[in-house]
Amino acid sequence: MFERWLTDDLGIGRVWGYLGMAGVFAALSGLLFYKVPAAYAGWVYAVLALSFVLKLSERERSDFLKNTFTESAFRRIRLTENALAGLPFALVLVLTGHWLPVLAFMLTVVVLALVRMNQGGQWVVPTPYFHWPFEFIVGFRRSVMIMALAGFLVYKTFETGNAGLGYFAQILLFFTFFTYYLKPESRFFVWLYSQKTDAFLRHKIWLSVLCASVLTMPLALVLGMWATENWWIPLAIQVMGYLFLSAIVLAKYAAFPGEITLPQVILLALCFTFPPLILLVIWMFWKQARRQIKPLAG
Amino acid sequence: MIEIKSLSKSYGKKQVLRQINLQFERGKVYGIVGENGAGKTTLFTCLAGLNSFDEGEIRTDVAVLKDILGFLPTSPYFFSRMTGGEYLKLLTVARGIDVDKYEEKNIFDLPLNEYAETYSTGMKKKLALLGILLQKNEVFILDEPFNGVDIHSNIMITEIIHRLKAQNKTVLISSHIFSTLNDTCDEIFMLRDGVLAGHYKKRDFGHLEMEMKQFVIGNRLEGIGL
Repeated sequence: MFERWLTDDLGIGRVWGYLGMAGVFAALSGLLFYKVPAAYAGWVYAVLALSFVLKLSERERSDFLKNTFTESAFRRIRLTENALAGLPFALVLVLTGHWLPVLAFMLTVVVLALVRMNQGGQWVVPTPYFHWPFEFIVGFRRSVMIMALAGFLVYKTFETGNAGLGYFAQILLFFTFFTYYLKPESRFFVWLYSQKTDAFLRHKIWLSVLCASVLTMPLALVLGMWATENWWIPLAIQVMGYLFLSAIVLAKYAAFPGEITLPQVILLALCFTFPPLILLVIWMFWKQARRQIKPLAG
Repeated sequence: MIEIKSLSKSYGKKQVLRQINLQFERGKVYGIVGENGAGKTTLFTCLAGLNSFDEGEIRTDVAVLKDILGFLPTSPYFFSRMTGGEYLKLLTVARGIDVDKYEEKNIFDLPLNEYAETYSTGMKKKLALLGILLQKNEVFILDEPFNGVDIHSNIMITEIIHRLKAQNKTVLISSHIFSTLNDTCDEIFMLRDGVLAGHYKKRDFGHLEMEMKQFVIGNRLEGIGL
């Protein structure tokens, strides 16, 4: 399925796909170890890696495998999947000499392969987003581990007096929010709105900014007032976060009803290297999104 | 009033709807019957504006039909990790309607604080129906509203349809359970292979049922000695 996604949806060969993924993985891993102090970097990395591996344990997916294969085959498949997904992260932890985090990570990966997750079950994770459905409600619950990690980083920021951790937490939150808009919703949930195309897109962007602000704005304000000599850093992160979030919301609808395309991903990646480009990209995606949404929204 | 004129729709080379002409008036309940694949759902999605069509036109006496249209799909889609209450909020917010207390409007006694994905088939159907009722629509398209719901909810949905009719709303239903159509509809249209094959008024429903039995059963059961 992953390879089909690379070839059919992204339109690139397997080799280039794997090479690209490896490059992005190495770059993001490097960035984390560069930004986060060595004392926590291993643990932060392990938690982020777990939140990724956890996706393989989702209930519907596990139920399908369990119903299709025998019990022993199911366990073998799940162990292999988790081992393969966890291996690159474990390798990075070993190479950076984080022995305790790698041990805890691998043990958890094995346990996750053997237990049946009940994410759709009884306990409903509370979110601050009831009034603004739906991306942040669903996304917040899907990334609850990352939210907890960001909370831990904020706590450590003030405990250790290291503002860099706080900036990292702010960036981590925005990157997590970006992932909320990667999958397109069913056509029904676009058709549903009584707003016309432009109003619909403006509403979606405004909602994303509002929801992102609920968690990031208090952090940015506190960081700005606390580390006064660098007050502009949290402000810059906030502004760039909003711009990238808007671009990704528009990218989703520019590709609608399909998934975000490779050229869009490349454009967004280019914006990270040359941020002013984001304004042009927003304008481009806005035009494309209008075209895609108009038949449904009117 | 809604008027469908010469509507045709194809998926690739397969023509699903052919020259459909229909008219729906306010305060009336219409049934659409037909075998699986006859084109009922395609007709509904084209009418709602969820699907494009190749030929024909849809005329209405309102500016934007979709803004006053409640659509209940055969299998409503629910986001994972979204509660029933949050789903209702999404449906009402999308139409700019402010509902304060969803619990008070919870006519089906659904567990609104639980994830909708964990609901049974019938509960999902009821949640989706409740959502479009809260939107205060003028036109309702109910694709298989009785599928999977228990007998109590069946009675409740039938009564809801009667009340909608009494409030001068237009209701379109598809159902494979003839008795539910008999109880609720003023007129029934039959689709066969994408073509409008029949139009029956209330007085002709008995005849329609006989005709359907004849068509569906024929002498097939003799093959197994029944």
